[in-house]
Amino acid sequence: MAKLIRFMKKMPDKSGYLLILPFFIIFIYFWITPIVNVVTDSFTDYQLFGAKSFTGIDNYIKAFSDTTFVKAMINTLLYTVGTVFPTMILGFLIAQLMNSSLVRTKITRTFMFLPHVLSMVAVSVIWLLIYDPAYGHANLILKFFGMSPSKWLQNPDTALISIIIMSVWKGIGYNMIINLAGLQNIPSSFYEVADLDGANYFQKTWKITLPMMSPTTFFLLVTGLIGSFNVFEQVNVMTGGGPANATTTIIHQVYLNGFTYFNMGYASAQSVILIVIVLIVTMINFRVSSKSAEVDMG
Amino acid sequence: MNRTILKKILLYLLLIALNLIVLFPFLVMIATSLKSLNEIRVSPYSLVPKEIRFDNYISFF
Repeated sequence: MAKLIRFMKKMPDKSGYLLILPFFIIFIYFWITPIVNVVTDSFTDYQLFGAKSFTGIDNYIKAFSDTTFVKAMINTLLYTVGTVFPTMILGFLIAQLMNSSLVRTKITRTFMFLPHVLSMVAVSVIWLLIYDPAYGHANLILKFFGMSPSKWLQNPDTALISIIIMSVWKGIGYNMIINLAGLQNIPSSFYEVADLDGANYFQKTWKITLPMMSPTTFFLLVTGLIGSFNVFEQVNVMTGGGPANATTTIIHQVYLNGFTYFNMGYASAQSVILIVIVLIVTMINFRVSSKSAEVDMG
Repeated sequence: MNRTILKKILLYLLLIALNLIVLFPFLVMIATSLKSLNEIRVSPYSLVPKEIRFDNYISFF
């Protein structure tokens, strides 16, 4: 009897599992089931209105030999590199500016944050007007600086860059606000000590601000990378995949194959490829950041 | 003392320039919403509509 009581005491309280059960039922039904479905569908030739039959890894072979999809992967990578890093750097610099005690920045912050509040589709429509080769303002600005007008979204060489410029414009406000919060969390005593030691502005930025900002930077990097890999709205609204597939992205291909051509099996395989890419990138991120955190501690 | 004032002016100029860049698409949006469909195409390079018309808003409601 005593043994049994000791055993019961060692065991965790079972009623706890009952209390967290409602969440896990919803979680499994709405999060896990779709993921499992996508993975299983990716091994079939499932059309939206038809029977499924198992085809093995045919969909994956098709995806990697499909020049359009390879182009989409390259475009997504270019978009990610072209968007995330400029947005982070500009956001950090502008946050530094906003953090200055010399000027009042309340209104400026609001204006800078405004693009983030708008929906991507609305923003895309505005930028369609700006980029228009015949009556848009982008060409007027080029002319003002003495450059020849460009066709922007209609030219395969500049279409992706045009979308990147727009996305950077939209992302800066958010990055600035998060960076600003990080900057204001750094205790001012660090800077006071640095001032006593006679450190100049760049030494302070390099030795105090950047190391202290590393959690913020890491958060922005991970969310920014995942968000950029999932780019879809601006591509679909502004170019629809663009001249000669110059701006098509992975999600755009998934959408086209799944909901325009109804090849759900093939679209699922493409989604799985995207999931794997994002997972790998995020894992590399975490690995690198945990290493650098150890260095900071030591 | 003079240097701080100079710094302030420079910072404010920088902030105004930044705001102009960021707000420019919004200006385009507002200007376009007040133009007629023809005017968007006819006078390409004006931010100020020739005549302010609320047709677009009226038809929206």
